[in-house]
Amino acid sequence: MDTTLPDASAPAPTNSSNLFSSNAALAGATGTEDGASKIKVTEPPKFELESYIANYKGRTRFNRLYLIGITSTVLATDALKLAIAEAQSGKDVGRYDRSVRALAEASPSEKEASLDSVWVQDIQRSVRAQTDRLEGELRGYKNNLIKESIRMGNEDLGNHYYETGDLIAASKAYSRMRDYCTTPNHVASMLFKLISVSMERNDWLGVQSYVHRLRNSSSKPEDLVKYLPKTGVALGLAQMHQRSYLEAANTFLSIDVSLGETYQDVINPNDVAVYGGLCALASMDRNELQQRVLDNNSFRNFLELEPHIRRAITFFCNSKFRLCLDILEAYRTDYLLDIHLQPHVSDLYTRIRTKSIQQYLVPFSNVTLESMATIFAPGVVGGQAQPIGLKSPFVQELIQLIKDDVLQARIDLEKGLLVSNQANLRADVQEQALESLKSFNQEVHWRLLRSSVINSQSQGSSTAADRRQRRAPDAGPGMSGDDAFASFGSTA
Amino acid sequence: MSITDDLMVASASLCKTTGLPNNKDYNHQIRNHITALRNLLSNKDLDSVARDDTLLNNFDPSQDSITYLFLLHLQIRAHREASGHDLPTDLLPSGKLWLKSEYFLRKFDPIQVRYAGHEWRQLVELVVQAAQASPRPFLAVALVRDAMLRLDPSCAVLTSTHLLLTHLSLCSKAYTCALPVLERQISHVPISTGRHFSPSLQILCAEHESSLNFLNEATGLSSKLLDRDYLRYFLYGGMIYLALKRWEKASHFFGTVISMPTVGSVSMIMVEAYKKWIMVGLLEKGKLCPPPNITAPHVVKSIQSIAKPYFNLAQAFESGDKNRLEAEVDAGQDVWRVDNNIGLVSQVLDEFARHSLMKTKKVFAALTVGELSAQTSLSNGKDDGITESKISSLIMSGAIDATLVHSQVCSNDSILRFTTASSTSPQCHEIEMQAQLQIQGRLLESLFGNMEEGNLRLGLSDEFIDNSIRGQPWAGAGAGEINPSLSGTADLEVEEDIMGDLA
Amino acid sequence: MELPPLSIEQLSKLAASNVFPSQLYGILSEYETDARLVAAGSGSPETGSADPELLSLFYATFFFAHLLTKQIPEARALTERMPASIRHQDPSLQNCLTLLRAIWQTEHAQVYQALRNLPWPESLQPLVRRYECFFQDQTLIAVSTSYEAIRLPTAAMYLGLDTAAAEQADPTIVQKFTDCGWKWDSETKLLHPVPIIVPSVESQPSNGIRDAMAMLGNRG
Repeated sequence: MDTTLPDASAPAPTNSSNLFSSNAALAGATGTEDGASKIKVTEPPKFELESYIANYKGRTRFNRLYLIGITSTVLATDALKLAIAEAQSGKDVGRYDRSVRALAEASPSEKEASLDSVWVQDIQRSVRAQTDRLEGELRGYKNNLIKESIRMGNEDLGNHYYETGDLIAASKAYSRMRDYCTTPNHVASMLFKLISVSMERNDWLGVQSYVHRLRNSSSKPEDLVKYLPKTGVALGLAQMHQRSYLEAANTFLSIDVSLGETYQDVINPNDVAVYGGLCALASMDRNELQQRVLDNNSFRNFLELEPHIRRAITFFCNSKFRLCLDILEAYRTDYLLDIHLQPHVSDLYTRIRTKSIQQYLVPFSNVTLESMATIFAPGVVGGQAQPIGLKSPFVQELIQLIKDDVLQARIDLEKGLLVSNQANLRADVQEQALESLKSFNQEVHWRLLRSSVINSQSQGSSTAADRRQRRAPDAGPGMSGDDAFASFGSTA
Repeated sequence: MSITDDLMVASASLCKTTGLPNNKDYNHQIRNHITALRNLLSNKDLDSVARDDTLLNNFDPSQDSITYLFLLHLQIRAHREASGHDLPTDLLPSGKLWLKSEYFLRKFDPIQVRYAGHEWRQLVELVVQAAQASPRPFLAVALVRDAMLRLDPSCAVLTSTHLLLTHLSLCSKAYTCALPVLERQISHVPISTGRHFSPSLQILCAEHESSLNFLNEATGLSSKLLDRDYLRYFLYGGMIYLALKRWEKASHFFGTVISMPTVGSVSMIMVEAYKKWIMVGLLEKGKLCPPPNITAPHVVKSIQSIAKPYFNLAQAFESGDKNRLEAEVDAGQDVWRVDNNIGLVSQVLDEFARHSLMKTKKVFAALTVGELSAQTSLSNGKDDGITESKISSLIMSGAIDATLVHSQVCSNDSILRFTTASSTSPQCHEIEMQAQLQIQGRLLESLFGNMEEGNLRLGLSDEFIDNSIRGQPWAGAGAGEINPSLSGTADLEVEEDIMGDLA
Repeated sequence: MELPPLSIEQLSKLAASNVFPSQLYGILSEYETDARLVAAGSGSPETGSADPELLSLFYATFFFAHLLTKQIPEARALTERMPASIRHQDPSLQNCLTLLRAIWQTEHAQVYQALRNLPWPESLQPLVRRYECFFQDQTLIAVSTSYEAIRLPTAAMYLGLDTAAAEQADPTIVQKFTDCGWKWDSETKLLHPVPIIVPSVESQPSNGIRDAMAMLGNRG
């Protein structure tokens, strides 16, 4: 991936035309920018922006504000103004540029919507100067061959690149620390830095491998325990972004409450509750949810922070699917404004809905479409002339689920029922027996003919004399490995 | 004493011994009898005998099969020489010699002719040639079939006559006629040389466990069969079942062709069979069937690449997309025509309606005809909904388990309820299933019988083991086989598009 | 089995007789060879030269024997085996083709139309009537298992009854169905058939599966 991008480890750009090329590299590296901008949310979220963003620290603050700014029509101006302020408090010119452009699009009349080029040039100048200085220092350390100095020189340079938004260069600089680490703590600190950069680059495989290295590092056992909550968060996010929702759920569920406010440049405990709860809802059945989520003493601490998630899961476990889905629906806007959830909301919700429909059908041999529609398509029941007719979206949804073998049922449009498939055991067994007997007979016959033909040809092709010559003394009949009879047993 | 009297005396002495069924003695008697006959027929001036139309009336083919057969050949030879034709008029259907031949083939003694296998087979082949030349191949079909069943009621050993019969049946479009032989499952092919079965040492008249002991090249009852002859028999047999719309049988025959052993080049007959195998799979099971799993991998590879258009057609069928299927059918028009498979393809196209109805059955328990129509056009993207009359004829023909419920007026309101055979008439279904299971069970038993015999034979044969070890069991597939015209297959078209010229 | 020589009298006798369809089919199969010989004109002394009338009657009779034994694909093959000289000219054989097409396309109305209104020769009439009954019975069975409710005119169409009268819910037509045990709902004007079950195979229930599986276990 590095090779396809502009050489970002080169000295920082000095003029504005170079600014955009660095921007492009950033957009390519973070990846979500394009996808994220497509989703638009017009409803106001339940949270209050200022207090929401107060829960986070570091670069994630800008990223979160910017995402809200380009997604929510209600909060666009506020969020982007905050994002611009956030950018101007740092040294990342690319971010500033992006947020100003976004604001100019959302509300051009704001005074922040025009680029402060003086500030930009000042920052660029000072960034370049600092880059030169840090690289010079590093060269000096290398000449002196002092390991610790080289390590710190690389770390300083990495931090500098990270702050200025050159993530690839940062990642390279941090990676170069590896050879100069002298204690397990050094290694751990380096890996945490690499995890942060990789998360921002959306390199989730990288995150997973760094977590793996951290957990298997030679740090002291008590340190390893200390790292667990943070590595759990990183791993859970990586699994969620790779759509391994069950694994992600298990990872989040195992995070210790000691995480607290310690990882605010990535996540806060409320997010753990939401991510873990939604992933679990999407991937676990009712028993598992009860045992591993609701009865989980450690995770309960997180759930208390987001009581509606707890309620949704409880409703699901009690087969109150409508209430469960209603809660989730009410929070859809909030989740679409979350930097990690946004790409997964629709997938997670669909899975939860499908699972609700499946679970709903379990106790019944048949259910009226009407009663299903009141739970799973309440809007449709009120509004449409034929709420459970063939063309209603709900019925079409059911049809698709049946075609995909998700539901083992058939639709009776005459009586307006969904009828679960009743197995006629005796008839099924008979039919299967007949089928396998037929195909077995067929194959036996084919093999019989095959061997008969082979036998006939071989008899014709040699004389008695060279038969004696070529006699293989230890090869008995049927031991020849010929396919004609060798595998009858397996077919049966 | 005339030669006729000599012959009658000779035959009579044979007849007398038949009363004492001591195989060894009888065997001896017959062999002596044949020697005597050959002497009589070679030494004397036979002109008068050969031209005597009443001569054969003195003999009863069911008693004096060998004498009758030898004299018949003598007369045929004389007529041939006199007329200068291979097939003199008297030999053509309803000619004097034809009638005698026919009489013989209906009456001969199946034990005696084992000792005159060459002559018996030559007569059968002559009759076939005569019928084809007349040109009414039909006249020979039942005759050859009955002669085969008379010679060996099991018909379980593939002979050159089998191939003749299937070929005749296809030529004359007399499909049902060949069934009595086709229905008897082939379990052996004749062993090429008589190393173990030197006919002069064999007691041919004895009751043999397998007719393999006398139905072989050495006795002359079958001519030498090449690999392509085996393939051709099963291809022809499959085509006969195809014409009768018996898909399961047809597919078994085509599968036999594909799974035959071969080394080196793949026969075009296999390719032909594979094309039909794919089509029959769609007709019978509604899906693309992979080649039998015992098929050699290199065969699978080549037949699949040559039969690509058929493969594509089957995939389009499976996709359930009617537009795509129609596009594949159109795209392959030339291929289907060259391969004589147009009728088969058009049947596949017809089958698609039933197939999509089956798919609907997976999703719905009941719906109105109007809804069904809307749903199929929804999923097909075009308005070609299925009509009630189409549905009702599918149901009434038993092609799909469902019932229709009319409402008072509009036919679009008719309700289609899907059922299963086991739910509507469980008892009937049960009986049917039991019967089928019994049939298959009996088949299995007979297969095992044949298999044990096969094992026995394999044990006798050291070459078999050697060859298997060398992995070169078969070295006959000549390069001359890669000839798309299939020398003689091309003219045998089964017109499956049954109402094509009537509609 | 020695058969009397093929002749119009013999065929008429067969057509009028009550032999089982399978027997009829068997006998006529035997005669097909003779018919081919007749067709060639070089017939045996007894039958003389080509005899279109005999041939026409033979093939038509044999055609109906196919229909009565439900061998539709083979019936089609038979029409192709008919000597070309008479196949395209003989009115009876043309009628056979018309009938075959209607059967093939499951056009019930046209099947009855062909059976009833086409000019079939007198000696064939018993077979034509016999097939009409056979076809009607087969259709009645099929309708009874395929429909849970059916409009009277549709049922009448399938059975070759007067559809115009059926539109008016003619009581005599209704009665034909109620005689079969079907229920007539005069409110909805719908017939409710009672399924007629004909076991396709006569056999005693057995332990088919167990036997077969036991065998697999022993040998496999």
